[in-house]
Amino acid sequence: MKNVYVSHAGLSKFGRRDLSLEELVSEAVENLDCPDIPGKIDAVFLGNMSGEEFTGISNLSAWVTDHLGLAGKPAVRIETGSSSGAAVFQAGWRAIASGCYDRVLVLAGEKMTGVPTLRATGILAEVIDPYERSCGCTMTALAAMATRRYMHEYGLTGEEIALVSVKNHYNASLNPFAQFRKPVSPEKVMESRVIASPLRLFDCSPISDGAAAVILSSEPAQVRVAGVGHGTEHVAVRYRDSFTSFAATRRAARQAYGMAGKKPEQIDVVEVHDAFTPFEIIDTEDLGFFEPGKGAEALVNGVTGLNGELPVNPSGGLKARGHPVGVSGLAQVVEIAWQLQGEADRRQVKGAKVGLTQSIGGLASNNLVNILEAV
Amino acid sequence: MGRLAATVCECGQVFLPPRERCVKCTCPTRPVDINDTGRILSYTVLQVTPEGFDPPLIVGLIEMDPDGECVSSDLEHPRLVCEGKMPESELGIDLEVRVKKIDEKYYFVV
Repeated sequence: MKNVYVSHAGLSKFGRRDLSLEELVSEAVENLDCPDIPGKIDAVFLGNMSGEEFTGISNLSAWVTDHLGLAGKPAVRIETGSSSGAAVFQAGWRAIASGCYDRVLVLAGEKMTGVPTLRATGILAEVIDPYERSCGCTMTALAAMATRRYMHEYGLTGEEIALVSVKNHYNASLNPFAQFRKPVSPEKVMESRVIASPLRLFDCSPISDGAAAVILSSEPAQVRVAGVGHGTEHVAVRYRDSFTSFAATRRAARQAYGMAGKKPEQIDVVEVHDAFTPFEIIDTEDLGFFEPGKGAEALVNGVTGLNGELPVNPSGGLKARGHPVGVSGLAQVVEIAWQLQGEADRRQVKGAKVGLTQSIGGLASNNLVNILEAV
Repeated sequence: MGRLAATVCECGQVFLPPRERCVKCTCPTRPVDINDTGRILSYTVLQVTPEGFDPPLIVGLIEMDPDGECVSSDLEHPRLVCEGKMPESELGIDLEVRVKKIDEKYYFVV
């Protein structure tokens, strides 16, 4: 396999944006600051979860490619639910690692705010098992049940969960691309309204518009893709062995660590899927950073803070950077690439050499892990 | 004590609601009746509900009790996600409940 490098990484601003899907992607591509993209790239890969339903447009890869002035290039769209951004990154990686292409433009875009909120949550719930949906389950409901079981097994408290939101909102206050730029207090999180007990509004990521872009190349650049991994799990939660750990993350992590030849102790900075803030605690355990049940202790002790031993979600995470569903997995890669290039501004993790991203599709049924390394 | 119609696979998996094929090994399953008692593994009360449901909506993950007819050790405890019809104040993890089937839908009750 060929080595694959991230040569450019860019984002659009996240939030409620008055732009179409293709305009959001254009903004991310402009942020790449890369001249002569048409002359450089061999193909376009687009990650997107539910574009047809959010925007009414299909054949999205050709639509976006055309809008970027790249008509003529091969273009394909990749979908794995809310991990589509991570999956499209791995699709682009495979295209170069295999020797098929030399340079590809990897994109992700999602326009969610063009439909009413109730419709948006209905679209998001389509990723879960149809029977479980017929009982009234939403993504938030299933996440809430996982959270309550975790609290029961390990004694996690609501006050501890709130600290994920506090940390990630603080990090996002330093990120000019983030949807939320204001720090929040633990009290504000605890006083926010209950959506599905025990989860409150400030435990849930927002509905967002956004886009991300990366150029992958076989020519050496500052950031190398060291390892990738991908795993699935039963879509229905009732068929799973565990509710307090996500097997798909563990499978993906095992592959990625193996390919990279790295151990969890060698990772300097991490972006994980905190669509619901207790997931950040579960994710850091599934990735091998902490023992099961010990993730919250690390959070409370500041280990995962921006100046801690292992900064988690320096971008603000899905919670505060925003969660345009099919984009978040690629936005995580962009953040880690910036961190490894030393270009993460006021949220720069000092001396970061190896970074990891973890993305969840559906209710943890299609998860991916990527490991990047500064060279 | 009541009984509920489920299915069982040779590999020991029991399915409620019934499945025609096993989710683990894809083999065809056969019908089996199981006890309608179980306990709450987890639950939530939704204050924001999807279309067709009114808040507050109780949803739970129920582990059904072991059943003599089921052969294997692996999943003599089929798990079921369903709506709860009971007072919110009495909800609790490990609470013993019964599962009822009404109009093709399952509900857990005290």
